[in-house]
Amino acid sequence: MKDLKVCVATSRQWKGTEAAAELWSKIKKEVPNPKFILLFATIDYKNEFKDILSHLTLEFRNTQLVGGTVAGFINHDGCYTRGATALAVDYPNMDVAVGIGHNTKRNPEKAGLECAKQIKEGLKSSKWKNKFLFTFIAGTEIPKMPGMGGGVIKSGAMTKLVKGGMRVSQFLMQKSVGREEDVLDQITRELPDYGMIHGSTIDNVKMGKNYQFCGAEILTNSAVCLGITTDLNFDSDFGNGAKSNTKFDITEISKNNQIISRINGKPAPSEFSRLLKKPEDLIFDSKYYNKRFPYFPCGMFQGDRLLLRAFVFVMSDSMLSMSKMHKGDIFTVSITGKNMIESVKDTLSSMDKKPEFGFASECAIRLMTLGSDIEKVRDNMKAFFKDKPFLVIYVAGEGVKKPNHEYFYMNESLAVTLFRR
Amino acid sequence: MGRNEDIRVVLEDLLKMEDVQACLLTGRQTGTITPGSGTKLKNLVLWKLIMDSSHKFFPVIEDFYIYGLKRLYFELGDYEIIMTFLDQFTALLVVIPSLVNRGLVEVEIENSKRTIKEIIGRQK
Repeated sequence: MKDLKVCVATSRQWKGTEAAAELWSKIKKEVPNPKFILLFATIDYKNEFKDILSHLTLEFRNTQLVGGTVAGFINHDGCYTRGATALAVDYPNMDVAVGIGHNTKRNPEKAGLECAKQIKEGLKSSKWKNKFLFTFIAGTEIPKMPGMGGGVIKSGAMTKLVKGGMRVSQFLMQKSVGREEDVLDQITRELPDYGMIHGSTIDNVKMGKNYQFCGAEILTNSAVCLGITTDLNFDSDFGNGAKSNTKFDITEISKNNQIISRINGKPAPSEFSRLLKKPEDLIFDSKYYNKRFPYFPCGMFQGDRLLLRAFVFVMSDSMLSMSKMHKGDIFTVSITGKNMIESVKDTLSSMDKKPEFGFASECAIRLMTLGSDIEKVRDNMKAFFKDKPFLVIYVAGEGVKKPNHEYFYMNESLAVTLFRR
Repeated sequence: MGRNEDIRVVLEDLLKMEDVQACLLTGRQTGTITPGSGTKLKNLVLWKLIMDSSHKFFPVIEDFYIYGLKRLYFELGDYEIIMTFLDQFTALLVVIPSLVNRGLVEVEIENSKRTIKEIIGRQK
């Protein structure tokens, strides 16, 4: 087996040129000529992206680079919600190609097809049999409208205005729910034999604006993919630490399967709070909603796997899920901070093979819930990876797929891929 | 740079975060150290009150510290004050708007706390 070189670098420099120089020098030392770089930065660097990307792509001219904005990241260096990080890989038995799809919120199907086409074309002459995709797609952006602070709208008139406004803003300004699953449906349909790990780009969980990177390009409302073919092996899995409780029926839902209006035939917010056995005023208190909603997602099964959906927004008559609800049984779910941390250990141990390096997408909701206790997630990662490099990014939605299987798309979860010889 | 200047740089970095409205280090041995650029709080009377009164918590903090006290949270109108303890005599105090995602800020508060502890440790 030829030399595999991997480096995960961090920079906390504020200036883009200095951050790029720090990342470059760390990468250059360990991986002089990377085949690819995954680059992520927090939204604090939005005025510095241009400098970071132009410097890195200038220094690594033959390297494919993709990435985007994240709420935070953890690696061997630490846990951060401000900074930039890069995963650089060089391996001779590997071919790489990138794909970009535009206008993911206006025409996600087309964006997915564009991506898949470029990956197929770029890797068509590769002789390596194991195929893998990293996908990063623009996550939800909530348009700024009056009365939308705190994630709760109690006024019926304002609810109507917001619902109508979001439909318009989705088309005109591409500010709305992310539609990542519509993009991934196309990508995975076109590239069924690829394994995959996905992260939806996000800002500091204000859901204002997020960015995607490809080479020196700074993109919005786009999908960026890095396809690799190699003789390296990979394993992917996910976990959340949640337990399903009471079953319920969604009896009215929007066309995009994200705005739930009725549960068990009754208005969704009041019926959901009844199922949770909590007063509606308590769980939908706008002052605390942003802090409390991570603790009461709902769950649904895809096969025997429990997928979580978080209600990021509650209106007078309906609730907005971060991603699509599936048909079938839906459950209230209980989850604790301790279970979130334990699930990291459980997910990693489910793939008990010694990796050369690892990459994970974890929901930003878990980061905002755990706060500085996210260090315990890092402790679990360090215990598993020991001296091998790993990078966890905090995103708006995470996904994972094994070759020739359907993909899983989650919220409030951890998706991991381990690469091994 | 001296110890206080090094600490000021760490506080300045923390203050640059969008949600951090003000921060300071307060302690019996360090006194009160603030970022060079001051505060983003518009209510300067409130900021002065916070600076002048933060040390008054220490008699209570000392009693509870041996039982594992790590942090104190106060809701103050539209703001939340987070006090994180480096030891029973020193605290990092951060003011954030009450509706923001506290968890993300806490990660960087923890990083700042560790760096400040290193700086203080180097000087001993």
